[in-house]
Amino acid sequence: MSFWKKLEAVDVRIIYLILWIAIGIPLLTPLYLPLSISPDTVLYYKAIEALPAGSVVVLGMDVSPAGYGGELGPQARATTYHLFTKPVKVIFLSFWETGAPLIQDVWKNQFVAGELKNKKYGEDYVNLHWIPGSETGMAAFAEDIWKTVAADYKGTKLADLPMMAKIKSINDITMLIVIETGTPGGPEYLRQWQARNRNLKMLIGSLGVSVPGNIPYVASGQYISLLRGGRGATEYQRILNIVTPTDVQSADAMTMSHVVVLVFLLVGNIGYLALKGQKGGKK
Amino acid sequence: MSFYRKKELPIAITALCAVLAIFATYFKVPEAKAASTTVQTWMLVIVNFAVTVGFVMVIRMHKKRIDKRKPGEKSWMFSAWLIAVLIVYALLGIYGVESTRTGAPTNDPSFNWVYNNAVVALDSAMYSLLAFFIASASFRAFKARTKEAGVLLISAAITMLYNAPAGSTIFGPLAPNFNSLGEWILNVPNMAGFRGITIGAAVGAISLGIRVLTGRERGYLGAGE
Repeated sequence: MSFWKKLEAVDVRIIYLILWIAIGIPLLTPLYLPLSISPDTVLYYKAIEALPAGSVVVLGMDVSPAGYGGELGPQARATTYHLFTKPVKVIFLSFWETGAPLIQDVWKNQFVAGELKNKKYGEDYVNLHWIPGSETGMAAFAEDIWKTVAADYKGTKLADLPMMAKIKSINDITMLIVIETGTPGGPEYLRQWQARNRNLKMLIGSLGVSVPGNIPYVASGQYISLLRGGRGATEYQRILNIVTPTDVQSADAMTMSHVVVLVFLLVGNIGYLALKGQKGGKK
Repeated sequence: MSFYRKKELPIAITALCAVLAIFATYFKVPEAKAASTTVQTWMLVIVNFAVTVGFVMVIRMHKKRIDKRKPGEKSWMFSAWLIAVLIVYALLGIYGVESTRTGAPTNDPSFNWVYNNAVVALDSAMYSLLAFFIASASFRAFKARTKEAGVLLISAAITMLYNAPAGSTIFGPLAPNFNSLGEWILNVPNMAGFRGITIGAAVGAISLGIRVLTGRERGYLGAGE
């Protein structure tokens, strides 16, 4: 059996082992791989920086735990931290029942918790938790927030939250930031929220696999910008200077896994072409 | 149940709600807007009832699997485990809501503990396993068998590395135009394709909406027609 033939028939467990080692090394010790900042992330940062004092920002935590674990969690934490450093009002909510419990998890982050001390619940930020109904729920919220949401995550009525006194519909919201796993996500917010308030600025925190689907909305100007998966999260953390060794390890592990997949692609195809050549030669 | 009550009444209700929502969107009539908002609020209530129906249906389906188990077969245990976890977790949630007496989403520590330490961890682990399948597929399946497959393979490799956290910094010096190439693939061929898909899907959604409105599309009423 030729070398290439043996290579093609390699045990799948060896492939898994190589990947496991490649991911494991940075998880044991951060490699601090170099990183460039993409223009999209800079635009995302600048859009939040440019928010006038008193602006009302909605942060939609429309995530599943799977997406939150690796890519969207760091995005959500960095975005929340950035918002809390600004004199703006923040409404946290989720149209994903799986995303709502994670809002409080974001607040536990060391950098977010540090800024949270300077903010007052009910006056500077609120958590409206899960809003059922998917896209229809979004439409109802846009039309009349008070009719759609009775109370916040603690059961406090909206009337008892001073911040909500002047926030009645989508027209009272300046910016929407969606940290999204899938549907409902950015396109549904576009249809139901931005279509009702053309001045609504939108930013998206997207999974790496969803980036291609979101690009057309950035090009059309409907989204100001987007964070591109794990890469976007790491870049944003670096701009804000809130990088922990765990974040570096996570980003390095992602890069290593991508590099390994590329090497497998190359080796697999070289083997395929070599075998094809051998067969052609025999003819 | 008569034919009218079984088919025509649900179709009439659907059409009425749809016409109301469309009218309220395109015509600024305050009464229509108020009625549309009310109907949307009803929908939110109905969704909560649907959760209960879903709960019962899942239990029924898995109970059937347990009842029909064959000797030596062990897969029924997963169904039993699912039912047990479903009931225990639902009870934890209900207890959490009841204990606060506010009607707020549960903040019960046990409920949150299960969510953060079991659901989040397991879901993330399942998603992470994809990396291993992709690695295996990249070696064994993704071959440049034709010219088209070769173009797809090269584009995929560039896009993948462009999206990796340190991809462009590592490979940038090797290929000076790496970043521009990654940007170009995403912003030109990808965007053209996705725009086509988005517009096609929108046209499809409109035609489906018209079919539902006119009662031609009845799939949502249940199996059969």
